[in-house]
Amino acid sequence: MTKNKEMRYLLVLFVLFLTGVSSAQNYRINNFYEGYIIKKDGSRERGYILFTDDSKHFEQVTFKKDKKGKNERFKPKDIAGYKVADRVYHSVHYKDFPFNSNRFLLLETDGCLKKYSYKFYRDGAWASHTILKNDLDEAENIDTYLLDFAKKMSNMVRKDEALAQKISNKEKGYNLLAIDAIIDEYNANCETETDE
Amino acid sequence: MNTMQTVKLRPMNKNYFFLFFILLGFFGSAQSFYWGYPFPQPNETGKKVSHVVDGKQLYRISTEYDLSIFNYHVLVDQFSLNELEKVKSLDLSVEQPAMGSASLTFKDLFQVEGADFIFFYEDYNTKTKSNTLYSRQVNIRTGKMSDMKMITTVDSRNGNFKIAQSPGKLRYLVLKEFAFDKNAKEKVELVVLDRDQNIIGQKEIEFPFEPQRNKDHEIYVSDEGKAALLKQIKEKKEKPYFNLYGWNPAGGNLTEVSLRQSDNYQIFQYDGGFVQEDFYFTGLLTHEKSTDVGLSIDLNGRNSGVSGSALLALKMDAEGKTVYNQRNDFKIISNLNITNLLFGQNQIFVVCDRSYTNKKSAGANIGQQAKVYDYSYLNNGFYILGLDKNTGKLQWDKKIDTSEPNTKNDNGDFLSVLSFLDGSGQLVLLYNETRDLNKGAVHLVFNRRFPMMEVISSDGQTVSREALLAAGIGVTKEENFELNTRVLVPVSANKYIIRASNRVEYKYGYMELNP
Repeated sequence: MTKNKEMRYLLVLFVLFLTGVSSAQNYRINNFYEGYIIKKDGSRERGYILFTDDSKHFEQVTFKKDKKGKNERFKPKDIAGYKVADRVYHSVHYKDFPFNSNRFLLLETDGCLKKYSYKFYRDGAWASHTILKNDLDEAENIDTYLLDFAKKMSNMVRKDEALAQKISNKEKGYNLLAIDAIIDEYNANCETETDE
Repeated sequence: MNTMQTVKLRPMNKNYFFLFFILLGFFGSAQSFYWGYPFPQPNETGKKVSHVVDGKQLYRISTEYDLSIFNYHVLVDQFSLNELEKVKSLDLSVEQPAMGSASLTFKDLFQVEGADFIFFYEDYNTKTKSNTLYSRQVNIRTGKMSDMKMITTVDSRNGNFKIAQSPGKLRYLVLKEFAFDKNAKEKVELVVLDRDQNIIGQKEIEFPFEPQRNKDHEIYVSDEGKAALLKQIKEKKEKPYFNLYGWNPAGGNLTEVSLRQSDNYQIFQYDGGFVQEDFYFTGLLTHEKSTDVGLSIDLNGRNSGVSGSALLALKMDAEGKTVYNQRNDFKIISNLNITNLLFGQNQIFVVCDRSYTNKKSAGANIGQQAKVYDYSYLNNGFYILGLDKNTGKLQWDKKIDTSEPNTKNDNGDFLSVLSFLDGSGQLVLLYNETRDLNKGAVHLVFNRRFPMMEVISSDGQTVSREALLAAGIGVTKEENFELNTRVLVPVSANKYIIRASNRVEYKYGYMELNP
C-alpha cells in the first residue's frame, strides 16, 4: 500500500469513527435494533429489525432472528406488523383515495379504535395521512372524511351508539378538529365495556 | 523424579473445553435472566426517577422541574409484566393554561398501593396571601384523578412544605417552613396525617437560633406517626452542624440530640429511616482540612469530590430516647456517596460508591435561557460498612477498587452499584467491571463491561464474586447492552427487575436468584 493510499484509508476510518461518536445518542439508520415481527396468527417473533428512514419502513421490513442471522424481507402482505424502537407498525388494508392500499402503518393510538399514520414524500416535502381502524376491522384514510365528517365518522364508531349520535348531530366538540378526543372517548367507553 | 509436562490441547479439544465452560456458565448458573423489549432511552439527568411494580405493570415515574412554567413535569411510562414492553405513557403534570402558567404546583408523590398514588400540590392564594397544601388520589395506570383535598396552609408566598411518607405507607408528615423573618426566631410546624391525609397531630417548634433564609431540613415518619426532623443549624462565627428532633404526636414531648462534632467534622451526606418505631440515622463526616498525603495533587479528577473520614450512626427508640450516637472513624476516602442503607437482622449495611459528577456549562451563550450542561462521571469503586445494629459500632469495612473508565452525559448509568440482602442476610452487590476483550502484546483496546455479582457475608468476607455471563448483556463485542446500575425493583423474594442500556435504548429484565 502506498503512503497516499494509507492516508486515505486512515481518513475514511477517522470519518467513520466521528460519525459513530456524533450520532451515539440516536438511532442510526441502517442499523439493526432489537424488536419483533407480528405473524399473521398474532404471535410474535423476537429478533433484530433494520432501522430505516421514513421512505422505506411503510413498505417493507428487514428482519433477522439473531445478530449474525440471515436477513429476511417482509412486505405488508406477508406479516401482520413489526416493532422497532418504540414504533409499532401494523399491516393495514384500508380505503384510500382513489383505490384501496395495503401498507405498514405507524400505530399512533392503540385501542378499540386505532389511529395510524403514514408519511410520504411529495413535491419536495414530507406529508402524512391519518388512517382509522375500528374493531369491526374497517380502515379508512380520514382524508376522505373532509367532505362529510359527521356521516363517515359516525359510521366508523357506530358500535358506540351514543357517541355516533353526538357526531351525527354535529354536537359541539364532535367535529374533525376534535378527532383525537373522539377516539379517546370511543376507546374509554369501549375499555369500560370490556372491563365490565 | 517427576517432570512437569505441558499438555498442548488439540484445536478440537479446545473447542470441547470452551463449550463445556459456556454450558456450565448457562446451566450451572445460580441466576436466570429474561429481558424485555428495548425502548428509546429518555434523558434522566436532573430528573427524579422511580419505579414501582404492581400485579399488572411496571411503572417508571419521572419528575422534572421546568423553570419556564415554574412547575414539574410528571410522566409515567407503563410496561407490561410478561414481556416488559413499553405499552403506554401518561402525562400527569398540572395542566397549563393557554396563556401564563398554572398557579397550582406539583409538590410530591407517594405510592399508596399498586398504581394508586397520592399527589401533593401547593397553590398560592393572592387574596389571603397564603400557600395551601392539597392532596389528591391519582391512579398512574389509568390517569384518573380524584378531587383536590385541602390539608393545611402557610402564610406568605415564601412559606414552604416538605412531605414524607412512613415505610408502611400509613402516615404522612408535613413540615411547614415559615417565611424568613429577621426579627423572629426560627420556627417550623410538623403536621402528621393519617392514610387519608386527615390531620391527626401538629406541633409548632420554635428554635433558639437565628432565622435562616436557606433552610436545610429533612423529615421522616413512622407507621404510628412518630416524627423525626433533621435540621442544619448555621450560627454566626460557628461551623454549621445538625440537630435531630424526635416527636411523638401521641402526647410525647419533643426530644433533641445534637450531631455536632467536637472537632467540627461536618456531615456532608446522610440517610435514615424508621424501622418499625425505631429511627436510624447515618451520616458521612468530613473535615475541611481532611486530606490524604499526595491526594492534594489531583490531575485526573479521581479525588475531586468530598473526602469522607468518619460515619456517624444514631438510633432513636420509640420513646425518642437516643440509644446510641456512635462515630466510627476510618481512613480518608474521596468521592464517597451513600447509595443504600440496608437493615439486616443484627446489622446495618451502608453501601457507598466512590463516584464524582462534574457538571460544566456546554453552551457558548451565557445569556441562553435553557442552559446546556456537559456531565462527566467517574468512579473509583465502592466502600461498604457493616455496623452493629444495637450499638452503631463499625464491625467491618470493605473497600472495593474498580478502574472503570470515565463516562460522559450518560447519567452515570454504568458506574454505581446496586445492592440488596439475599434470603440468608448476605449483602449482594451488582456492578460493572470493564475488561479489554482484545488480547495480545500490541492491540486495539475493545472495552466491554461485565456485570459482576459480589456476595458479602455478615462478617464482611467476600463469599463469591463472579461475572454474570448468563445475563446476556455486556461481555461480548456483539452485545451493546450493559448493566445499568440505577434500577433495582424487587418483585418477589429472589426476583428483581433490573435495567440494561446501550446508550440509545433501555430495556428492563427479570433477574431471578435460584437458591
